[in-house]
Amino acid sequence: MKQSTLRKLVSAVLLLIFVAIFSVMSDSFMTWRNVNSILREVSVVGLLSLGVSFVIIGGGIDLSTGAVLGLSAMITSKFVTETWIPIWVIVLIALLVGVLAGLINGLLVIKLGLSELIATFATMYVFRGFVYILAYRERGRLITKTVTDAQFLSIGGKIGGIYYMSIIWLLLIAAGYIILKKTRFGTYIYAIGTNRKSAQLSGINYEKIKAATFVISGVCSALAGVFLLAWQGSAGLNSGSGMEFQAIAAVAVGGIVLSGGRGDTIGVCIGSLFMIVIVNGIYKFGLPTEVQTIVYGAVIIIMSIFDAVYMNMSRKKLIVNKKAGAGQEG
Amino acid sequence: MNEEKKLLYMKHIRKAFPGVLVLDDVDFSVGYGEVHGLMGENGAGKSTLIKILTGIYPSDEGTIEVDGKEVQIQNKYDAASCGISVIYQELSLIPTLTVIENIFLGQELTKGKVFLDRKAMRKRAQELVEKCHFDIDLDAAVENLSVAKQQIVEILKSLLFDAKIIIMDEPTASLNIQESESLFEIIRRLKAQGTSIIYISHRLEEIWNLADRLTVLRDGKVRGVLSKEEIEPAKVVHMMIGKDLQEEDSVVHDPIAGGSVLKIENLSTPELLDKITFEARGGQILGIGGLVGSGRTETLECIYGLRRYTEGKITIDGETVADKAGRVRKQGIGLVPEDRRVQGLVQGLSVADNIALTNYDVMFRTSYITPRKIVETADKCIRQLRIKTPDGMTKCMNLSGGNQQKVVLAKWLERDLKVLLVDEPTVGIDVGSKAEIYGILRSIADQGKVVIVVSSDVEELLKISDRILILVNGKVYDDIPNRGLTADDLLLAASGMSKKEEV
Amino acid sequence: MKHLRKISYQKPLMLLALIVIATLLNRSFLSISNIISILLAVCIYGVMACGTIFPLLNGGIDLSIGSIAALSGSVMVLVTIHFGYTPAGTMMGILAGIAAGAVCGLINGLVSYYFLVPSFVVTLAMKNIILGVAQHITHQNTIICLESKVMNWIGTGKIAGVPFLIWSFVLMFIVVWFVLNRTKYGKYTYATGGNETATRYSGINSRMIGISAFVISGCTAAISGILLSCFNRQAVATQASGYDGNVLVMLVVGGVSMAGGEGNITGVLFGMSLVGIINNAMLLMGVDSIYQDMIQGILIVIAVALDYFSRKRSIAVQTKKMEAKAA
Repeated sequence: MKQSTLRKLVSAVLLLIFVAIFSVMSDSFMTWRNVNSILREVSVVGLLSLGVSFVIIGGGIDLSTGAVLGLSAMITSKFVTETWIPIWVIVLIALLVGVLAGLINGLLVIKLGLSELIATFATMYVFRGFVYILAYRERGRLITKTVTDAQFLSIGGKIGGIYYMSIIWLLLIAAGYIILKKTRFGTYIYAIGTNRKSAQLSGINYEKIKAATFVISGVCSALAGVFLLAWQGSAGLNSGSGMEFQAIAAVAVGGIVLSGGRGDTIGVCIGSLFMIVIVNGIYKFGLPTEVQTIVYGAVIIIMSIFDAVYMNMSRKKLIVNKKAGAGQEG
Repeated sequence: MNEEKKLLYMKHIRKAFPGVLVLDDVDFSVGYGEVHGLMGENGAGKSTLIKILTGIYPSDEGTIEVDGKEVQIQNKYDAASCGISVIYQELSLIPTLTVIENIFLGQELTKGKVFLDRKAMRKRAQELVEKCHFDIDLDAAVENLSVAKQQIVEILKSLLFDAKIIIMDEPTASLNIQESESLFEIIRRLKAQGTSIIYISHRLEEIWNLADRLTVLRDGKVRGVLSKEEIEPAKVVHMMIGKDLQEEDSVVHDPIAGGSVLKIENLSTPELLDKITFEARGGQILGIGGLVGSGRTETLECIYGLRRYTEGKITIDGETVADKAGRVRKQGIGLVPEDRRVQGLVQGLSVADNIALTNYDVMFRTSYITPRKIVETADKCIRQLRIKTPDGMTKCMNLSGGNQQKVVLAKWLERDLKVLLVDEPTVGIDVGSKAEIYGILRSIADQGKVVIVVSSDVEELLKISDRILILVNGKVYDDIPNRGLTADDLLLAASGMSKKEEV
Repeated sequence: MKHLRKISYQKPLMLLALIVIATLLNRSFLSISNIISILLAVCIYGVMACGTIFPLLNGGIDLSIGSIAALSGSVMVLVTIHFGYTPAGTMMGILAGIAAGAVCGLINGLVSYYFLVPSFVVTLAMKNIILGVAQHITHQNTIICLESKVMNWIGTGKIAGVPFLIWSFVLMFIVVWFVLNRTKYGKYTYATGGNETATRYSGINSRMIGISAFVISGCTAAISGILLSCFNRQAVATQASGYDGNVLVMLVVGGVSMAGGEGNITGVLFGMSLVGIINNAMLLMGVDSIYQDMIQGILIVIAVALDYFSRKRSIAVQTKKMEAKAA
């Protein structure tokens, strides 16, 4: 069996184990209502995961996803409450915000040579600042405004008992899979995530692909912002705050190795479900929220160690493959 | 036969870099379906010639004709469109992708320009594989393949865009005997199909087996073009080296009484080394020769504690040598590594800091250090070794190659060493500094220390060694005093081809 | 002092300019009490930066320092209360807090260097885990501790008119400066960060250097958390959230390269001053803290971009010099 399939299987099994544990220990876990609620939550964080997974497979990282979500939610909220622009146009504008955010990240990394960690760390702060600047104020004080536009709120509605958001998310997961596995673009993302030099030698435009991954991440985050707004009805200063790390944790669980070049969106799907199931289960247990944060961290570390150990075992082969003439240890 | 039209003509190629003429009026031609060997010492101009052919550099003068038409090769795309491809030692594959994906990387077959047409790619790949009788799993991830198979992937990549000429640079460096044989089979089949191969190697035996013709370069000029019948090892070596070095009467030094003794017994590693046994005595410089991949650097790394060995005993003056670099250093063994930029120096630190790096335990008794002592020590070394640098505070990255190497030496000279291991002492260093470094090594040996020098430069080995050890494929092939040896002897021995009797 | 180059005059000038602008915007900027409050605010960050510089010099990063500060402060307060607020009890608490930080740092180091997981991932994950632990032991409450004499003295006591907090930073600064510039360990740290391979080939255990760097970072984070809790006379799990960002800015702006091997603790003084002045000025003007974060984000970008360009320029200058030499 291919290594990647095995890895996804491991995550899937882990997920099922936890689902089993939670269903046994709490009657209200496996109810339709709960599952639906899980799926709805997943569609927001899962979108962040989906977007960031493209960046990570391409060998990078994006810490600004949560902030872009918040920014998109706030901008959408303002447009919906203060203008008469048609809803679908507003959604488009939100997505454009995502594109812009992605381009800014790309610019910082490619043209200014910033490390992706620092660049997206900085943009995280800056975008969050913009959310703050745009926030509603009445007589200089911050207020929260609820969106009441029925048409917009219908985005958060259901069809056939399932939320639209969940369906769209699943469709996007599938689309992401097709892009990664069945298009040239996808192959190139794997290539630059593994070995920049070899990729460039084969004629791949490193900068273009890298920028594209950031744009994808930005757009997904922006869409997640729209979903969050439709679901919760209002955009807060801290909407999405902290979700960027949840998203990365989900990706790590799903077998997308953080150094790049491996994994696919099915893994992202499993990983996202895993994280939300854990959160949901913990909540149902009545365990305090700190257990959540501990679990996030523990999951990231354990899966990273697992992946690193596995990779080191196969890396030993690679050393033999290097120039034997120079006789250098890798 | 020379009147036949050739696939490739490079005529009157001239290439100079600031201060150095690398290629001087070189004519090089390759026939259709020909395996053409290219040999020459390091620095003879081989790699420059290839870089011109693959578009990395432009030539200053000269023309290139492919298939009867004159072409301009300015970049790798031009080279590719002329049907020229190259497989370097450092393979340029993407490890996490499959064989098929790697073959088609950058030139995928698509449905409607976006979607991969995996069926078509598989079909084409299979055609190629069958045509060449390769044995390879198309769906395996490249990282899971052996080097030999990875090379096949590279070859398939070249064939995909109908390469007419495939350049192979030291292809067998990482292969074992069976894998090399398979490669030779593949080359013969490619030749049968009309693909030409430019085969660059130091291994005489292989060239002898495979090449239809051989071009030998020396000092940027073509020394000769031999046809298959004319290829004779001694003759080839002579063309590569030039003169017999017997004219230089190198004094052979005897071991000094009371000097250190380094004994290596049955040193073996799973990957390469096989029961290496030899002795090195203080007062003598022991040179280790052999081809790329014969295990010279590995041997040094084992002695110095950087590489694990499964069998064998290493002792210095009777005391067992530790297996960790830190402890080995304290036992009095130092290593001047092969790649001074990556392994020898911290480029961003000053000369003084680099010299001090191996010596803090002898310079200072406690954890407390003073910059003054570091600088004083550095100044002393700079004077002694005549390192050309404004002062000890200059960063190492600003020094020339020769001076950087002197800094690496200085690191070890500050200690009271028993053994100094040196791997390629003068690669990329100017002639003046070379002589100085030889002098330094000599004076170390004269103090009763053991000096072991690994070098690919045959002239260098002959010049400075008192004894020479030749390694072939991880085994000791010969261990002889440097009396009356010539470069031919060494090169032949390194290729495992003939043994000169002890004088 | 041949090492002063033109660049080093730019930084003090910038600070001067900032001080002038800040004073113009708000008269009370230059008052003694304000200066002291800037120093106090910045001290805690400074103590953290003193230790976190080590992992950074090694080419890694430590994102868990904020959580460690929270955990250690909480541990200290809890132990102090447990032992009845006595001086001995408080000392135990302080030791326990530092130990907690050291253990966290050790875990960070071991996972980074033995399992070869990138330090960014490890410390990010640990940040969450440690925060969770801190939340757990405090039951998500703020734990008030008013009766420990030792704590109160640490938090508000003065020596020669200067708050103890500032002295502790000064002490820490001196110690770290000493370690980095006058000990073997410091030299090894710079060497490992500059070129790990060459350092290893020189016979130095670079792995130990790397792991110990994280332990140091954990300890200083712990100390700053303890100082914070003493100052506030309470411990709460969120007390140091966002501190990692500030400290990172100070270090990066202060010239510590993310790639490792470059930067000194004195540069961090500049970063501290910059951040301290800007934050305080914004505070005086009534600007919200979110803007502070935003400005920090922009600062990081500017600092790193400047570093990148100056590096590119010096490489270009070098190349020209070498070409000229060879010609």
